Amino acid sequence: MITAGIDIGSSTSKAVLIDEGDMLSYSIMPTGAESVNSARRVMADVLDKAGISAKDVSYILATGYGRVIVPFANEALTELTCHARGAHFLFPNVRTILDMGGQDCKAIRCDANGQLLNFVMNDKCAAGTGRFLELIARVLGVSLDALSDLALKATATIKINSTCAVFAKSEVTSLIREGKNRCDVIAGLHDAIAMRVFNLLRGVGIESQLAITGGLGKNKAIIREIEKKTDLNCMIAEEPQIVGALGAALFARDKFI
Amino acid sequence: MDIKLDLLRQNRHDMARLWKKETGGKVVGVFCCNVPEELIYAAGMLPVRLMGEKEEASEADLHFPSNCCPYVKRSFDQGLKHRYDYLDGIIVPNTCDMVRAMYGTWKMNLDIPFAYFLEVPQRISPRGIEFFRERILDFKGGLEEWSGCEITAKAIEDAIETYNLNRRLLQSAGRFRQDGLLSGVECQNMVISSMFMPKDEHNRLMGAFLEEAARRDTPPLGVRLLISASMLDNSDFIRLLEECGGSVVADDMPAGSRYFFYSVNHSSDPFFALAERYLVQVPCPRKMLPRDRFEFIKQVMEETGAEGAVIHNLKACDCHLYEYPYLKKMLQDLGLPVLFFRGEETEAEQETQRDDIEAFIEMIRG
Repeated sequence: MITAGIDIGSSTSKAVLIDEGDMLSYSIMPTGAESVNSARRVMADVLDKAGISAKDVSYILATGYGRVIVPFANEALTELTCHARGAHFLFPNVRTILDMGGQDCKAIRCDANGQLLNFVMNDKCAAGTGRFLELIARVLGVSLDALSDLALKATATIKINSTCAVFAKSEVTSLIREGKNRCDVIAGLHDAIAMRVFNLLRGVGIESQLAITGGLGKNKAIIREIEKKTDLNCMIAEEPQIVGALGAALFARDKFI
Repeated sequence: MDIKLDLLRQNRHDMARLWKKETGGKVVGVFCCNVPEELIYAAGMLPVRLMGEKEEASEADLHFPSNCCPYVKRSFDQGLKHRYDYLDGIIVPNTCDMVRAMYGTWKMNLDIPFAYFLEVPQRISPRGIEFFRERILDFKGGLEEWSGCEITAKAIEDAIETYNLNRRLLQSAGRFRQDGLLSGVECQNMVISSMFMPKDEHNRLMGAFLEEAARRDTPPLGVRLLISASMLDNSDFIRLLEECGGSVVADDMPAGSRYFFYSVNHSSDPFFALAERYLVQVPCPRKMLPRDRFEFIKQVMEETGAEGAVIHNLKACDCHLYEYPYLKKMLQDLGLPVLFFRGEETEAEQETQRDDIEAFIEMIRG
């Protein structure tokens, strides 16, 4: 029984194929402006990787920001429900999940069965999201991946006062112009983001154990700061970006139980 | 029928103009649930609740800072855009800072012959009721002086009766939505249309509407929700909740149960009865202590079997926003999931809200 989960996020589209509890393949692609096309592309890619064809897939469940536009999906569920499910599948003891995606950031609480208990989204603000870090990386002329490494090299943390992405960008630019160490500024930025998401987590109540999902789960500097603030070890999937799609595939599998 | 109720709101200005033409009476704009409309009605005038439109408040934006109440701003914007040019007067209570400021703002910027400032006590107490009773008497005097006509005891008694009937009909609508005979949207549209239609006419409309609704087959309800909100002068947000799989079975809002819960008591002193009803019985956070309000909300949740609560507060609504953390805690202590929004009620906002609401509904369904 093969089922698929497809997660159309604001930055990237993800697809996961599972056969019962085993993952067959996954795919991650930029969403771009044409969400329908990216849904088709990421689905074609994940099928290709598994070496199967569309007719072998029994059920497709879509999630993410673009879930309603996936033309070939059988059903749609929100990413909150799917992230809780995916994270719980990977880490059965998880109770708190922080999903840090391209467009928004969500703190999620679930029970022992992975059932959603409560959630908070960051409200209408880009700070603390993947897009924000992309913007900062561009301003500083480094790649997104390099940003985290530079922050980890810092010897001091320069406080960034602005919590708004636009103001923070100006603040970072002027600090660099003042001759402040680039790594220290970047570390300050990571600290500021961690502070914001920490408050978001407090909004749902932090309960051990904590998992981080979404693209920012790959940023080691952010994880380090969050771990410091929460005093918890974060559990992170090998590929944190596909947790939502995995959850969707698992919900698809439930249809046949 | 829902579509017709929607149309009423759209056509409210034309309806008021027509009423004015046909009766030669005065139309009076009103803010908030604290104004005893009965007296305006008894004076032969048409009270209409001031409301805004979801369009760019391009005119009002020039007058206000950005951190202000979107509802009050949009209402004033309608005034500046000449959509309320039929108004003969406005009644402004000191409900909150922003509404209070509208007394001067409307007077200075719009050509409205009569503007009345109604003082409402900040606290519910015997002295507060006595004070408000006197202000209601002053208000009656103000209306009489302006119109040159006496408001008779008989007219007040009749007005109270007509308004109480309207409340009873709206209360029935409230019960109908619990049973699925009416949607939350329909119920909200009934309340909103009551706020600008002549009450006797609205009573007739509602009577017919409820009779039809009573014969409906009840569709299965969605997730039963209570909505607690500051001013929502349209039904779009409730429509969104119901589109996402919720059924609004109860509310705690100005343009909702606060408008129709509790009737005015029969009393030899109608001014005392009005003061009591408007001050004591409208469970509004502006004047009621959280402790007492929460008892009311708790009771509503229990009676309606609500499975979750959605709180929608307008940006800068101090009265509701300061209360929110405690309201949330109280609801969560009851074991109810809570979803909170603070916003400006824009079309764009609804799209992001949709995601949260869908997740909330999924969460309750389990």
